[in-house]
Amino acid sequence: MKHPPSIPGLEASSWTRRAFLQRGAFGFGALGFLQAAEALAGAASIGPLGVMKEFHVPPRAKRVIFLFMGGGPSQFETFDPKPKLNKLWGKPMPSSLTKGERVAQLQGSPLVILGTHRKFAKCGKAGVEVSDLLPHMRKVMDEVTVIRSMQTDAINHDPGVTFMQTGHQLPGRPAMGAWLSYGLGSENKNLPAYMALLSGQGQDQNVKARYWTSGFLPTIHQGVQLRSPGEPVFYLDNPAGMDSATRRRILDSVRELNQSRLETVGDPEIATRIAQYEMAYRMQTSVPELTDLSREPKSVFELYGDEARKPGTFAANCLLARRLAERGVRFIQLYHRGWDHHDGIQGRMIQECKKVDQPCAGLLRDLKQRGLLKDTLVVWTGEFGRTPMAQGDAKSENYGRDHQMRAFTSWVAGGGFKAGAVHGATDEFGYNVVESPVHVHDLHATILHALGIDHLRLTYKFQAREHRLTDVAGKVVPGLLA
Amino acid sequence: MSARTVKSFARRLCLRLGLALVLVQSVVAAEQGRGAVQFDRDIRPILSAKCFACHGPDSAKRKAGLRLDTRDGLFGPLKDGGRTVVPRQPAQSELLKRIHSSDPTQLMPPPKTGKELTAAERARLSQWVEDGANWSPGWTFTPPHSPAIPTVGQTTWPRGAIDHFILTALEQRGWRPAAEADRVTLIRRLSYDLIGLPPTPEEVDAFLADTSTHAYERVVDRLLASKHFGERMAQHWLDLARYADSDGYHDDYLREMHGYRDYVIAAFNRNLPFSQFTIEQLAGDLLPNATREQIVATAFNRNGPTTSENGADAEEYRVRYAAERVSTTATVWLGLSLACAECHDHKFDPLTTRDFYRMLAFFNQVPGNPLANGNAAEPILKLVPPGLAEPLKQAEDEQARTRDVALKLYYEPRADWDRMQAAWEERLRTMKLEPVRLGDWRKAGPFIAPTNSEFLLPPERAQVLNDRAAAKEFSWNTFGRTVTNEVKLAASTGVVSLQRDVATVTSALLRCRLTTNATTRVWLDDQFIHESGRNTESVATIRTFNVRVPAGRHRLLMRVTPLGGRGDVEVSVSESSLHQARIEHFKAQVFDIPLAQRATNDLTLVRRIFRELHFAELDSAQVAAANAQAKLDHLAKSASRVRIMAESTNAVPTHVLMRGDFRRRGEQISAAIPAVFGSLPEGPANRLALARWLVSRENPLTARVTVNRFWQMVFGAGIVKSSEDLGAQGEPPTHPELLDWLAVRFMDSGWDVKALLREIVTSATYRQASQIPNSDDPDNRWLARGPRFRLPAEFVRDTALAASGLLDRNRLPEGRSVLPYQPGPDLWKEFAFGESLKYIQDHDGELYRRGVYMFWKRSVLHPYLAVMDAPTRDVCTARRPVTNTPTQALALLNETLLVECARVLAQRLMLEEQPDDASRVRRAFRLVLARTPTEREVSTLLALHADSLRHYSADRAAATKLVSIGESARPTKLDVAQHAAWLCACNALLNLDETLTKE
Repeated sequence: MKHPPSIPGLEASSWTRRAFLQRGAFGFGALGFLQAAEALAGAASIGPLGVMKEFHVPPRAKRVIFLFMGGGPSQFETFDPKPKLNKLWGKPMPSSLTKGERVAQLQGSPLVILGTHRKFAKCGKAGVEVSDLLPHMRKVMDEVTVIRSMQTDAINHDPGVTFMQTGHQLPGRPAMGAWLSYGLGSENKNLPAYMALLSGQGQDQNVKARYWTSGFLPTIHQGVQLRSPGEPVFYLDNPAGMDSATRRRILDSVRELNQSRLETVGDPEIATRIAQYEMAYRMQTSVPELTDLSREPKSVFELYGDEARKPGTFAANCLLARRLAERGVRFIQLYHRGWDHHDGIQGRMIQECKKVDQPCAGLLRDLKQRGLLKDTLVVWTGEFGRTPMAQGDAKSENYGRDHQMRAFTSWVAGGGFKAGAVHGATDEFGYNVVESPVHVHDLHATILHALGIDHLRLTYKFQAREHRLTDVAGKVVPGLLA
Repeated sequence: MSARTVKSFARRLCLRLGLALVLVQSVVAAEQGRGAVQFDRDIRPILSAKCFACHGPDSAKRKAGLRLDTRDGLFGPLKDGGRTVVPRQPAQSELLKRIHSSDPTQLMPPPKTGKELTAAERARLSQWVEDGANWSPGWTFTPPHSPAIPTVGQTTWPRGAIDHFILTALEQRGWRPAAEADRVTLIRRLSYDLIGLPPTPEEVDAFLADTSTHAYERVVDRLLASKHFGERMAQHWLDLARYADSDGYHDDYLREMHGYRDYVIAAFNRNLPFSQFTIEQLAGDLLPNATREQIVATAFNRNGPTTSENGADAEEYRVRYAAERVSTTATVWLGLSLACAECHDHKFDPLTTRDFYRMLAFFNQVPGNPLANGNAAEPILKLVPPGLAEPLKQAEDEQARTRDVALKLYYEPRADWDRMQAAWEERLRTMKLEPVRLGDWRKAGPFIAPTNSEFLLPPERAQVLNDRAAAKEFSWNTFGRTVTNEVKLAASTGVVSLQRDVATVTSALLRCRLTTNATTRVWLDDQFIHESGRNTESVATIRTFNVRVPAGRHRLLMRVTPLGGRGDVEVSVSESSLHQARIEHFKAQVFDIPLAQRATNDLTLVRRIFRELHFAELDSAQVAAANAQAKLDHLAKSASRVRIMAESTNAVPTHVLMRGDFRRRGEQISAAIPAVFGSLPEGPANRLALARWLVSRENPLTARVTVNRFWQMVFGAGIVKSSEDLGAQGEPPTHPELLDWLAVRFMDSGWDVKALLREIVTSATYRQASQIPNSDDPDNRWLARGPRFRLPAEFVRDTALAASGLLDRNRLPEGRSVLPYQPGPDLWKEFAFGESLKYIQDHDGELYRRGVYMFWKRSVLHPYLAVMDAPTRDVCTARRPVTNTPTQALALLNETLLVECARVLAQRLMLEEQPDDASRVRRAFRLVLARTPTEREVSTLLALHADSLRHYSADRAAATKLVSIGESARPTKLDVAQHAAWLCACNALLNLDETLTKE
């Protein structure tokens, strides 16, 4: 029997833990997030603050870039063409389909079929249909698996996003990135394992810091927001008038005083504190270096588009995501707002697709050319999809689509997932999944699986029970994996 | 089976048995000191973790009809006649056979469940059966009885009962307690535990100088009597109460719940018995003659997150809120995770889904729209700060009076006006109505602004009549075609005259809109009728006024004098189109009906239109009412609207919901406590009955849960570490007898919180030094030393505020939530969409309030709080994690307020009389850490100061920048380089591990 491979670097950090506990052993240099978690972890294989000692299954991917499309983009204008809707445009939806099913803002309104002006073309070797709003994505479909059979449990934004992020509709559980940080730790001793980047400020819907929360897991696994423009990490910059040398002098004094306290008191927590202050100092260099795009060649901006030069755009965040991936950040969460198209959907889809199309395609190409795509999983999804029914007058030009939880489309690429394929199918109205449903819990289970984790075994005990990302459900979807 | 396999099977079996025996011996040896196997401590946790999922309380998941969570299940006969456990008869006990079985199909737990027993667990179960298989129903569900206080060997050490329990456990392990901590450490520890602030150097000196026997107790009593005690306790309680200043879900609107925080602080300060504190929060509104405070207390159950998301289902959320109240109540008072039972019977504790919904029925009767947001979510209680009650009353009266005046003018019968109305109607009946015709605008000017006196007459006439020369220059010009109703003038132009003709077949109402960045005077047919905007603001906002014109042709003249502010000056005149359309309607439908017979709606509407068309006094009455309303609104902002509990008059039936789904209703049930606890006494089963039961002797849990949490607050971990869960899955208590002793003592004292804390902090256990010995107990669960752990976010901040002197220690312990410095641009806006809420940072004293008053916006918690382990309070939190991360280091080094505190502390050192720099360093240590530094520590900070001084003397511009951080005053006489250098030393001091830690 083959043993699952161990996680590189853990042996070394176990040694570090021992060093912590031996009084006076201060030869340790660089201690980071990984080691801090490890130092606090205790002896159990997955202790209360622990990291996994070995993979449950052979890992395919090392990290995830999660492109969250906040608000819920329409599958009908992107990846799931339904000619029948155009034929029946303006006609009532068959009530056999919709009776008793949940809608959000359409509560109490007549349900009328809505077609689309989009044109679809078969792309890549597998002939995956992609709309004309995504000309750049059309060219990279050989890397992508489109999942047309996504399903969720939540009909509104707040519970929907919370569910996609944490596997539960109510707040309080850890987000996926926190679980991965908890299970696998960080590969970079100068950066957190879980980082979150936002774009689309002011567009619907809103966002909450709890979308990248550590929930009941220790706060060290909390996603750290990488912000732009301005100070990229909260409190990263020294106060005005304090240069790095002065900061270093202060830290040297703090370290000296803390060490003498450690000798008196003997609490290993002080050793951890010393290490974390050193880590903070290193972050003051490593983070600006990370966010400085000035050395990126022109060819890179050609890949992601000119928007990538503008801090805080989705394009710039995609480029940063690649830089984070290169540096071994475990879970890179992009959150782009602007997809909640209850009205004006035709025009607004043109706008939003334009913002994400080239950056997404550019990211895939860039990861591929650097050899990173094979062990970086890229996921593109909203919290749900949109209805085949119109919101507003289906014949005017200002209609939109309501929230749809029974069927929506996401895509995945890289990280040992299948490339160039369509997974699952919806009925001719795009209302129900008729083939290979992938529930959010299943997507979570499959993502963990790709990272070497059995979703049933990565657990944390809180309030009387062992919790996991997939709550009490979820199954790995082999059909998604290469 | 071949001979070969039989042989190998036998060998494996021998090996296995031998191994098991060795393990039993070694495990038993290792566990000496634990004493005899105790079911509650040693056995139930194994059964719960490994067996209950299939053989426990959840009837739906139970396999083979066997349950191991009850006495009958464990000792009763099995279906096949065997017995699960036969005391002292391992060979007859099916449980042992199955856990030691080498047959995978027989082995329990089945390997596929991934719940294999460890060797130690198997050994412990075997030992338990051999020793007689003692059993108890579980301490959790048995009321506490005060145990005998154990006798100890080291009789000189204990100061009270607590110490007997602690020392007994230590002596069983062959450990000794640590020596008593030094006095400075003790007063610092006490100050943090009882008021959440460091002691002042004067307080330390007073304690050191007090050589009397009861010096220590005197400090304890002083701190318990401090008004900061309530603030400290609120820090602990607000996490449980999931107190926040915003809704949490979706748009996360702001609320005004701080009246509840005031209640909590005041309740702890006046030492309200915990039983009463419980009753008031859960059911204050149902108490006979409930006071205002008791009603505010019920905000506890309105603190949970709520949504107002468009498209959300009101019923879904109504049920969610009630369910959230159940799980919070269960966590806070029962220490049980009842939330599991929302979807299925609890897998480990005897709590069923039915129990959950019967509890839910207590909380299911709150009236009001579940999707209302912020401070509009009824039921609401308006709280007016003292001193504002009278002005607010006056404003309310004025608003009511002016409103009544206006209403009277608009709608009340009045013989003279009604006669005129009849004539007007009569005229209109035979007339063909036409819209008012408005001619093109004509313009003259701009002219240089005239002096005030010239304002009195229409300048056109004055010029035409008296000044021929001027008249020559004065000419009316039409605008280009693009100008219709609205005229735009540059704000910088001089005086402009505007004129247009008006023709109407009947009396009409014209609506004029003017921007306020100009003075505008209006004449109708040479009669002065209006002036607006004179000497008012220079920023353009819109004002409207009405012009009434009788039937006929008229000339409207306006003189506009821009005030030179921002934005164009805009003027427009149009007919009130609403009236036209309505009159047409009423002509056809109503005019034929005599006044007395008209439907109320028609009567009032026609009357209103007629009067608006004809009487200018309506305008002034309306303006007066609007002004009064505005004044009231302004004052009302200082009042707050706190969400409270109330019972609906229409009782809503409560159903069991299948899998927690609000659309799948099962059996209808009524309110009751979980069956395992028995039932409520006779009488209505409402929240008040529930609350009274929670604090009754019949309930085994509330006292235990509460003392355990106070213990956790002081020692860092509870006697039961999982303070949110005392059930079967929780960690067993380290000192069960002590827990019960404290619980009974607490109840006997009348639930006296201060007395309980006094008991704890005067113990020898508490007074131990916290230096970490090389022990087998790194987490200090057995308390062979004093507690040592990082302070909560609020107290770290409070420490910096107190040391610098920025904290106003005399401020009343109450008030609204404060908005301190925030990093970066407006984070609230960054996270919201559309017309978001702006973060309006506070100033002056509000900036320097204690952490407990910080604004708690759930979706964007202040980044300092977030990195320092403060919960978002989306859910009830019984214990915060205590982590140690680089992002915390960054916040503690660079956060604006903390840097400002270092700056102001530096000022303090420089301004106070001190002989030399070393004395300044000593003073700083005493202000921050209470203790005097060692010489080595002094020289470290002096060196830092000297190095920094060298740097900033060479770069005074940088020094100026650094010492300008924060809004508090800075004496200009201080040398900037010196100030910056001391700031660096103070910044270092505020970042020491010791500063952040209760030792």
